[in-house]
Amino acid sequence: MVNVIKYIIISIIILLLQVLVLNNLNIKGYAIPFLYLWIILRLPASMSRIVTISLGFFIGLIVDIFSNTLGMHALATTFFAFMKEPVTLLYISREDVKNNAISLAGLGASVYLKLLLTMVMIFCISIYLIEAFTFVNVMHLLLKIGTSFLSTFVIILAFDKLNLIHKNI
Amino acid sequence: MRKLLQFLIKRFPFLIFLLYAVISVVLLVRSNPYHQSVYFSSSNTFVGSVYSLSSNITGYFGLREVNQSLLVRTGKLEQELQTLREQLKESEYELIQTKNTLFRDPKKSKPTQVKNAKPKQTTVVDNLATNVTIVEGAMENMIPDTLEEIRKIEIWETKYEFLMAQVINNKISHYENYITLNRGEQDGIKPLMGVVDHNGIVGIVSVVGPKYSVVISLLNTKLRLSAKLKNNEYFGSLVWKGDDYRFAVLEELPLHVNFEVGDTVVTSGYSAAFPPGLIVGTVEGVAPNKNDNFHALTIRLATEFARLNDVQVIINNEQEEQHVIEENAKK
Repeated sequence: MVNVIKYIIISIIILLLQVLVLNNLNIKGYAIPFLYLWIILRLPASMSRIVTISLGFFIGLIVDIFSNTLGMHALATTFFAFMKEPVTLLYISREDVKNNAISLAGLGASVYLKLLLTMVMIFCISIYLIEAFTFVNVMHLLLKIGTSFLSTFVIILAFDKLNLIHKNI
Repeated sequence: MRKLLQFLIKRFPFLIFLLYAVISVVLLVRSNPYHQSVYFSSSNTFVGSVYSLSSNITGYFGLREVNQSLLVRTGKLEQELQTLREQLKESEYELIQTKNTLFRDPKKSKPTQVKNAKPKQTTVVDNLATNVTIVEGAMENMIPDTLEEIRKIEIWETKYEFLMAQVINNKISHYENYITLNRGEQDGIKPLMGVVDHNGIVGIVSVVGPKYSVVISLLNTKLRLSAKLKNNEYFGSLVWKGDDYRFAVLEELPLHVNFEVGDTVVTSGYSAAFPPGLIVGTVEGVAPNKNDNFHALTIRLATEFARLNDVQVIINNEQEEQHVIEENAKK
């Protein structure tokens, strides 16, 4: 129970941090760190997929309302939440997933890094493709995906390393 | 039937995903920069107050630079004011001179003219004298008498008012960027008003909440703005291409137009949002262009979008009238 409350408080702080600081923390419009993905990623694998996807949608919607990009983050995070289980099962067995927290400490460095890499890549590609919907400038798009992927990957890894919640939620 | 149910249960997460995805896509496609919902944008009171709180802190960052550019701007305006004052004085002097030559000299011949016009009238001399002064006064009123009167007319004719506002949220990283201001309906802000800062133009108001409003930034690929070259009055359409936030492109400029790098680009005044002559930026060079019949120029924007802080909203008292007329003309 303590962990759940801790998780909720951390989530709210992350969301505020995302919309107030991180969304503006970019280099000439590139390299935006999407730290709020951690909230969805950290949800226990034992949690119902439906709840995970719903949470993903609403978290995305909140970020959208703050940044006036209605539907963009919502669609990308819904997809992110939907892809979480299949991608996790790529790297570990169903049994191990149920028992361990999805974090650096819970899964071990090699598995967690692989998982994080795949998930962040999926998110960055999907969100920039959604944004570029009608607008095509391939080099610019690839640069945005690449830089945001790097910054997101680093910031989530660093945040997870803090290990604020020790056990499975 | 059972198989269908089994299928649905097995695929339930996917169906939920599909449902949310459809909702998101509908939101995404329906969102138009000019018609957004107050509840789903940062003009709503909750989001606005969160941004307001954080801008209370971040608003102090970079004040040194803002101060510097304001000082430069004040200096320029002071210079301009000085030259305008001199011009006004000269023209006032000329005005009085022409007035003297026009009206004071033929004064002596006037009574006879009036007499000729009314030959049958047999009035006393006093009455005639007042008649003359009335006629003379009416003619004199057509040209303003003193500097005071000239100033009064100027003020009466300005239809633009400026309202100070603070930027509480500003994005430059998306293709469609928006700015949130700490002023709303209660302060008299309405959609489609123009927004400028001390360097140049910033954008156009789109959604207005009770206390906060959202501005379509000039850095929004969906915003097109009419702008012209200051020295030859040829106009084109200014649009941001979604890459570098310091540059925009002035399109649809006739091919025969001569320009030089460094030429100033100003608003044309054709849209009701901005008065003519506000600085947009300077010509940087020729932009790649698909249309062979027109020029496209890269424009270095005068406004520093990465560092917006205080802006002014332009209230145009005749904007509504212009919109009604333009809408009627389209029908």
